[in-house]
Amino acid sequence: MSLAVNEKVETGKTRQGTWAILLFLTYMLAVFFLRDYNREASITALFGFVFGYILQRSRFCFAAGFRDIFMIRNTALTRAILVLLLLTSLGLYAVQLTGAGALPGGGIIYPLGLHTVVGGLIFGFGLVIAGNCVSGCLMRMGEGYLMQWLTFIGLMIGSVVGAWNLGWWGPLFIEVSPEIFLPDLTGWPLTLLLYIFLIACLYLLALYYEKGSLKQALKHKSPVFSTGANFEGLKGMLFKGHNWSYTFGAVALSLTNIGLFYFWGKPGGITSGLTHLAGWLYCRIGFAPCDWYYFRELAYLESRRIYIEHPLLFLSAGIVLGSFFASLLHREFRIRRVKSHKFVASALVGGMLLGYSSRVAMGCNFGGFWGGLSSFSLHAWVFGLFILIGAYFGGKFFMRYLL
Amino acid sequence: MDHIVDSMGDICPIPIIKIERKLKDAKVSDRIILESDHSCSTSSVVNHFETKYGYPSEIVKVDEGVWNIIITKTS
Repeated sequence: MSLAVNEKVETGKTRQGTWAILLFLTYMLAVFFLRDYNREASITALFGFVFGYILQRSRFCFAAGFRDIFMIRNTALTRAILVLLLLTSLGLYAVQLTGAGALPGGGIIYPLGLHTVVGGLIFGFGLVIAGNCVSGCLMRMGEGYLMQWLTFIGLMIGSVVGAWNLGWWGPLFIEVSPEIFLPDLTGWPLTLLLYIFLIACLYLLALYYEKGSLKQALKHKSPVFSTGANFEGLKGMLFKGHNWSYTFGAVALSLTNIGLFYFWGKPGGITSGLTHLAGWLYCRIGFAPCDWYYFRELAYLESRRIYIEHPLLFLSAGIVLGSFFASLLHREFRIRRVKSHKFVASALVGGMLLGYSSRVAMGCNFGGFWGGLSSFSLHAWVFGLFILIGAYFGGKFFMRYLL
Repeated sequence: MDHIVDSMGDICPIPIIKIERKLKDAKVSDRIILESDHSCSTSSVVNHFETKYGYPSEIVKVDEGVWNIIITKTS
C-alpha cells in the first residue's frame, strides 16, 4: 500500500522540469530584490511559495475535510486537518514563549457573533459548490485548472461585495461582538490541555464515524497516514515524486505556518490580501472603495498602491506560483478546461459565496479558521462548526444538481 | 474484466462516487480503471478504496497531469 506513482510518461517529452528550475530561480531572485523594497512582502512571498508547494504535493484539501464527511463518509482529510490544527496551535504557543511572536497580539483573534455563524454557513455551502476552499483554489490555479480561475474571478467579485456590505455588518454585529481569546478565560495550561483533549476526541469521533465501530477504528491503517512514517516512504515522497501523505502534508504545513509566525509575527491568511486586490481593481474601474468600512484603516492611503502592497497578497501569489512550480517539477502541469456549463456556473457562484462569506466572517479557511483556531480564538471554532453545517447543505445541493 | 470510468474534468468527490457505482456491477477480481486529470484524486481515491474497502490500487501516470487509477475488486 503506498501512494507511489508509476510513471508511464517518457522523459524528455516536454521540458516542464527545466521550466520548473527557471521559475524557481526567478522567483527566489524576485524575493531577494523585494526584500529591500518591502521586507514584509518578501517574507510572505517566500512562505506562500512553500505553502503552495506543500499543498500541491500533499493534495491537501480543506474543502474535502468538511465535505467528504457527509458526501462519501470519509474523514481522512478531516483527521489530517485536526492534526494540522493541534500542531500549529502548540507551535504558535511555543513561538510566543520565545518572544518572537505575541499572542493574542499577533494572532488572528476576531469578534465572535452572528456574522461568524452566517459567514460559516455560506462559506461551507460555497466550498462544496466551487469544489475547493480558498487555498485549494489558489493551488489548483497553479496546476492549470481553468475552473479555479473562474472561482478566482468569483472570489474577486464576492470580496468586493462583502467588503462593501461590511458597512452594514460592521456596526450592527462585528463591533458589538466580543473577541474571545481562550487563555484569557481559562489560563494557558487549561487551554492547552483542553485543545489536546478536544482535538484528540474529535479525531477519535471522526474515525468512529467512518468505521462504524471503535474496534474497527483502532485497527485503522491508511497509506495517506502511514506513508512517511518510515525511511522508504519518506524517500519516495521527497525524491521519487510519490504523493505526500496527508499527515506529512499537515506536519509540513504547520511547520510553515509556525515559521511564518516566527519570522513575520502573524500566521498566514489569504482573503484579506485578495480583497485588497479586488479593491484595487475596483478603484481602477473608477469607483472609490477607500471610504468603505472595510478599507477605513487604509486612511493613510494616498496613492492607491498600498492596496496591492498588502503582504497577504504576496502570500496568495506565492501559493499559486509555488503550486505551479511543484506541478512543473513533477511534470503534472496541464491546462484543464471546464467540463460543462454547469461547472462554469458552480465555479463562479461558489467563488462569489466564498469571497463574500470570508469578508463577513472576516477570514477564510486559511487565516480565519486555521490561523484563528491556532491562535486560540473562540471565533474559529464557531466558524469551523458552521462551515461544517454549510458543507452538509452544500453536499445535498451538489448531489441533486451537480452530480 | 476491466471497467473504464471516465472522470476527465470531474471535480471531487465525483470520481469516487462514480467508482462506487461501478463497483456495484463489477464482479470479484474485476478491475476498475479511473481516467482522471484531477491531481487530488490520486490521493483521495487510493485512500478511499484501500482503507474503506481494502481494495488494492495503483496509480499510473499516463500523461502530464493525467492519471489512471486501477482498483481491483477483491471481495
